[in-house]
Amino acid sequence: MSIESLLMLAVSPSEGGNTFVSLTKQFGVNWKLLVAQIINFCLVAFVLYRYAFKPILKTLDVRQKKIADGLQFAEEMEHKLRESEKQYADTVKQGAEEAKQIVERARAQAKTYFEQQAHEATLKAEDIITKAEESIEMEKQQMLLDVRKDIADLVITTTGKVLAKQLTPDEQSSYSKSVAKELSLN
Amino acid sequence: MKRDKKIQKYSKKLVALSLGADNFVSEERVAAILRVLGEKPPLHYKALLKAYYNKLKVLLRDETLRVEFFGDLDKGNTVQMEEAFSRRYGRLFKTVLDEAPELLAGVRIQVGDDVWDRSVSGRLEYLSNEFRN
Repeated sequence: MSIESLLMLAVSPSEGGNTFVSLTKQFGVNWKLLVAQIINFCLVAFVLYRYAFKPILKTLDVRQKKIADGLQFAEEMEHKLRESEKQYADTVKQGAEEAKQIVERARAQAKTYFEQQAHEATLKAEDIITKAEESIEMEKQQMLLDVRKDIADLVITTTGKVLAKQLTPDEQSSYSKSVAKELSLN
Repeated sequence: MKRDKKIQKYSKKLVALSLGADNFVSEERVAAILRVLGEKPPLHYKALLKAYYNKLKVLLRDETLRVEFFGDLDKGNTVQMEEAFSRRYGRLFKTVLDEAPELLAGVRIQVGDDVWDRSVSGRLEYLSNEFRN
């Protein structure tokens, strides 16, 4: 017999009342004891709910919240970590590009500087060569002049000595007289 | 300054007194002037003598035709030269003849600061300068 049929028997007004009573007697139900147990159960349930389940549930809630916060924090951290990694990668990439640009610029400047220095060195060398050539030319001219003067002195001195020896008194007189005549005419 | 002017003026007068009748510096007149100055020394005697000496020196140089030569010269030659230079300068000269062997041959004439060099050594010197330049 199912529970539903038992309950139908219990609520039926005719012979049902008797059946219910007989059934309760058959099962040995003591109403006083049952009510007392029900009250006792309710008290125990209330006490357990009030002083055991409630704090435990509260603790569970707090812990669950902590776990949820922790998970959220972990997710945020992971997200931040990904962003940081991405930022780091971008920064590294940017830095590499800047470094590349700096190196290229430095190479270009070094090349320009080298070319400039080479040009200046060439100009200086040309200037030095020009000055050296001018100096050599001047020295050459001076030397030629000195040689010319020395030769002239030598020729004049020699000529003077030769004339002093070779000119006869007659020639000297003749020359002096002709010169005197010339001066008299002026 | 004032003193210098007086001395210059005084020495100029002494130089004028030193000229003889031929308008040349007369040795006798100079000697007489010096004697008088020695007997009665004027103020600033030394400075006056110095100024007088300088002026006389210039005057003697200007009135002298100094003829240096090597090789015989006739009397006629010197007279002709003296006349030529008198005409050129417009005044008479006293001719002083000096034999100068270093000329080798020819004549060199000096009047004041002017020189006419027609000697062989002068020609050689001229050639030498031409070569140098």
